[in-house]
Amino acid sequence: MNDMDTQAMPAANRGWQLLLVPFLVGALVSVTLGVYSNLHEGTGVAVNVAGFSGPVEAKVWLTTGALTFALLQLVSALVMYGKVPGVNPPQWIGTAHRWSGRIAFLLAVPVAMHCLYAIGFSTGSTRTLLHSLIGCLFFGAFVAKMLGLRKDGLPGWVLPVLGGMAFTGLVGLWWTSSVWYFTTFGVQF
Amino acid sequence: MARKGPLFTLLGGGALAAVLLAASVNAAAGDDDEQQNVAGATPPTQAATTAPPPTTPPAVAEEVEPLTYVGYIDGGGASVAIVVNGTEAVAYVCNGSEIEAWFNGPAVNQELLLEAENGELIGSFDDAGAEGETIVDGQTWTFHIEHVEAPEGLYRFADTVVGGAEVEGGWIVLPDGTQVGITTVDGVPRPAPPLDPRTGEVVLEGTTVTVDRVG
Repeated sequence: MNDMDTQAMPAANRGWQLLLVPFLVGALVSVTLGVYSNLHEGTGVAVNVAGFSGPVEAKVWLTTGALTFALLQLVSALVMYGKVPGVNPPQWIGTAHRWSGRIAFLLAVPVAMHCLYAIGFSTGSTRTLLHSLIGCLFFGAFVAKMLGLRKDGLPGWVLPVLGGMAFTGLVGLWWTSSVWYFTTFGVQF
Repeated sequence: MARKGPLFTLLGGGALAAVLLAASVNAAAGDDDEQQNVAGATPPTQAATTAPPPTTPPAVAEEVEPLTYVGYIDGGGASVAIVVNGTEAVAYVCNGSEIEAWFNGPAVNQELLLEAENGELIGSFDDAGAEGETIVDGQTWTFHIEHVEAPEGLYRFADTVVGGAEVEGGWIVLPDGTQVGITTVDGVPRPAPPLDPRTGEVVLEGTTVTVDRVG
């Protein structure tokens, strides 16, 4: 009886209560990144990945790598939710989804650190402004998604929407960096 | 188990970010140390005599001299000037008649990633020179240019002159003494009149004005 009450009564309200902390933390992350990248003077020096002709090329390819794994995220999520006609979600699909996400995230972190530490928030052109804004939003959305995953009883649309935001953000980041680079200067390593 | 997964993911990413941040701070500090060693060649004797207390914060970065590079596009036909000031750079590409572009953007790890309204410039630089690629109005050029000192370099003017005309101008003064520049008067570009590199003076629309060297 008690169970019924708590479940039946404020279903919508409860969803928002559960989302409060993930959203607040996510927002805090976004704002912190934005403020830090604005205040911190670009040093022009940061650690980087060896094997590329320069840090710009390394970042362009790391971002492309992250996007590849993000595409796996989209596909595995669709399969997991039974949205791909004729495909029965295999047992390992959850694991595949989790690990492709982790790899995408870990590839994106060094890129973001270089942006934050060596360059900083840029309003120099529409492209860099968009890139800076989306970069801050992406990590906030990702944190909200991760924290949301830990909550039971969320409305069904929440995780797909949060995941979709993170995915859209990453596509936007890739578009305003790697695609711009490849189309402007050609495919270089 | 699955519950802790997302947290581990975030912590893992956070840890990676922290390691990279620490390494970057080190890398940047290493850079500062080098600069200070150069600058710190004299202080010991001072300290031995009277020496005012070293209260001035030593970590404050000294003004780094802007680096200027100028030269011709590979194959000629246009010129490039790049001025790197700390972590920012501006550049100017000009053919002396109607093609020109002003770029700006970050100069990071000795790499340039600059953008203009009508083009892009990407390249690298060191103490001796700069090289790279630029696209202006859809046309691609490569360049290998040298580090120069004043009066060679880049000059820019943007103001209203006597008579009310809006004038914008850019001049690249090359090591061989050649000047390549365009002035745009009320939106119409034309070859720039010659500039006196010693004084920065140039006659624009019948008035003598002084143009500043960039950097």
